[in-house]
Amino acid sequence: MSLIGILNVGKSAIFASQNALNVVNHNISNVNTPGYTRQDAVLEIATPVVPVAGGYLGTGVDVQQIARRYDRFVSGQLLGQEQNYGKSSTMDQVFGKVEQIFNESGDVGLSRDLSAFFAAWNAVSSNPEDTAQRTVLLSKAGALVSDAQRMETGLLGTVREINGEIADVAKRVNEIATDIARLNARILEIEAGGGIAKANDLRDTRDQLVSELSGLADVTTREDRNGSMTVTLGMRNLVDGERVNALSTVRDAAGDVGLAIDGVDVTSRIVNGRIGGLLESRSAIETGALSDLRRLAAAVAQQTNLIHRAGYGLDGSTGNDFFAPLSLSSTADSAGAAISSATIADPAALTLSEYAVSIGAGNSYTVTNRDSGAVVASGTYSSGSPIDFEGIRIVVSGTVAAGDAFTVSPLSNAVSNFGVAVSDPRKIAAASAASGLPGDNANALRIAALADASVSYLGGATFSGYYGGIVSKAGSQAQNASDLMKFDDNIRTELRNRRDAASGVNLDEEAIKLIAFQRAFEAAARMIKITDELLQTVLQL
Amino acid sequence: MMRSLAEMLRLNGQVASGKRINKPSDDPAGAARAIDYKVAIDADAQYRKNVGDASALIGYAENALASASSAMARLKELALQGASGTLDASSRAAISQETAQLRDHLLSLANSRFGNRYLFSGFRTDTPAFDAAFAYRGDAGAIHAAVERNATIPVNVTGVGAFGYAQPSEEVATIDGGRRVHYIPAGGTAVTVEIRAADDNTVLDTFRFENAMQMTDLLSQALANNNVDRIVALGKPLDDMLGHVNDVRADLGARLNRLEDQGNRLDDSKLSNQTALSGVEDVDIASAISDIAKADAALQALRASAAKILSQSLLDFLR
Repeated sequence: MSLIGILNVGKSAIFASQNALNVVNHNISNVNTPGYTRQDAVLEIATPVVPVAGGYLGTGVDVQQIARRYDRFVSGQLLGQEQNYGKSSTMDQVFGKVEQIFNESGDVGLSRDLSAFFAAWNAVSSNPEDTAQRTVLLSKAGALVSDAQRMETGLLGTVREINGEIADVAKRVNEIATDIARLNARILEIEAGGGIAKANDLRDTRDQLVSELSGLADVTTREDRNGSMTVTLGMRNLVDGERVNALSTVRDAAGDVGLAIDGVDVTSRIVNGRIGGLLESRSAIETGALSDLRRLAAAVAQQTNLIHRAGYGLDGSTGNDFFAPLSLSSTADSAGAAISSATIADPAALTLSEYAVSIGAGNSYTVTNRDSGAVVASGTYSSGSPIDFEGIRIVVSGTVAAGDAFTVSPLSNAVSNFGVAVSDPRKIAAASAASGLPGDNANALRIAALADASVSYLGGATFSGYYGGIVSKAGSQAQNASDLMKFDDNIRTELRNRRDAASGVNLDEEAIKLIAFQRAFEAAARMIKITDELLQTVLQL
Repeated sequence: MMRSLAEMLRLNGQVASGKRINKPSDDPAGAARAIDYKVAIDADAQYRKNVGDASALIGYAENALASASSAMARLKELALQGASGTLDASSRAAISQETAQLRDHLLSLANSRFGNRYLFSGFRTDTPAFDAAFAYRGDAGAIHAAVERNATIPVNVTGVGAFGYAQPSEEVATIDGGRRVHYIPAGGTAVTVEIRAADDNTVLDTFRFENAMQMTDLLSQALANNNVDRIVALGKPLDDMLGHVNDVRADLGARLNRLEDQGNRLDDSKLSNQTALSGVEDVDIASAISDIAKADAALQALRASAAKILSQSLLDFLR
């Protein structure tokens, strides 16, 4: 090899060290940048080799590529864990809020209202002639009603917040999807041609976005050979190369927000991440606390009214409801028919269940009790003729088609319609035998005894026992959510540590590399200096 | 470090509120039990009030009957006195004055009011139990008070029960001159008294009464009319009536005793429920404070070690 050749070897060494120092410098600069993946200058022996007698001489060193220290396995796990944590932290927030609504640790709460209500009936039974006790009873009943309504308002408020938040999160998902699509385009541009050049920093940014997206919903990602990323959500493509199919919000019959991609409802397929947590906690509130609270209020109103109607007031009146009577709410899923009236024909026969009316082939209808699953009425549909079942009479009018479905519920309005129907204390029916017996307290005693009675509407529980169950359920939901959140947080932290071990910047390591490449650079420079001296020697011959 | 801090805050909250359960998730089962205890304490408090009200009502009725009892005893004395052969018509008329007074006293006792309710009218607490003709105007209603879960106690005695006369089966007594007095039950609390001749069964005199006031009224008339046979014939019913009133008083006294026991039991149950509630809900201050000390130590240690770890870097040694 010529002396010039040696100079070239030295040059390659200087360039390589310089590039490596650049990479180290970039690493050190980004030591605290979230999502940054450590890069390494990968050196390789330069080709071609020069044949000499007895072997080959090398021609120095090349930087083969600037590699990202990226552990696909850990990163994949971390994305999954971001989804879990997104869900459990959301559920922790929501259930933490819900349990505050049922917080009885102070000296107020629905259980105290219930016991005060029945105690007031007891007090009326002690002094049935006294209107003062009756007035107290009315105000205690009013407190019970307003606390139940306050709690329902709280729960509905939480559901409304969840709906709003789902829409907000969907907006953020769309922003991230747009950014990913844009990055896909730029990465393709840079890496085009299949060369070794990698858009490392852009990939870091994209991975960071995917990580944030994973916290929001259970997306799956796939990178094609060209480096373009496809993001799927609920089995639909959210990002496909440079194209974004934005999430849109839809509302169901009950007014709850759902999500759709390309007009296809994907709500039920999103089960993880923040959105999954919001959806799951919303359904837990609606089918749990909210429906339990409504059932309790309906049972209190129903049981009290059944006894109260049989009694007599001080003014001799009878047949009065103490609480506003239950009312039915209905929904219809039909193109040509609707429930034109739904009334409670026989309050005593009411079971506080919800019913589904479905239309089958040949205009046949079946009414199913949703709680027991039993068919309570069936027949051939005729528009405008009443259908009777379990104390309820409904009239469906219009043209039905097979597959039409209707629901009837005495519970949906139970809390919003909950109210004290008696305003005149003299109309409170404390007497049971006949009118004009002011000393008769048997009916008041009967209602007061409801406090400890097992209530068939509540599965045989007492009112306060059932309410205790609601509170305890809200508590354990919050406890479980909080435990799960801590657990997921631990795993996430662990995985982040492992990711950082593989991909993070270690200043000690970088410092060592700094010294190593500095020394290599110095040595290469020294090489060139020595070669120069050799050339001088030759030129002075 | 955040978690240690959160734990410290939680323990701090417990000590500040004095409660172990500050929200249901602190102990879901305990929260439900605490509700049970609170409801039981509330219910017991109301039962305690009911016991107080019932005691007052029964105590008042018992007082009225005690008064009636001494009036009856005095009537017995006066009847004996009036039956004595040494008395002349004008003396009997004088005694009649006093019996008429006692009759009115009995009527006013039978129409006693507690607050605004007539005690002996059954459910018709707005109506005097007996009218001016001594007829019962109330009904047979038994007023109950709830004194504990699923247990009630009757708190009233009807006018018929307290002042009504009871003659279960026919009785015969012989008075002066071999005449016989027949006491014949006449339905309900009514009794027909017949004074029959000694030799044959000819009814010489007959009268009828249902209650203490009517009986006293008859006595008063007999005294005024100098009708010694009637005065003598009324001796036995007066005796029986006094015994009956005292029986009713004993019954009321027994109810009062039961109420007193019940009141004590409710006080005990309140105490034990409160103890149980405190066991479920209240924090053990000593252990909470030692937990805080532990959490604090852990936090300090964490801070110290974090400070050490974070300050170490090779770059420190490359100056």
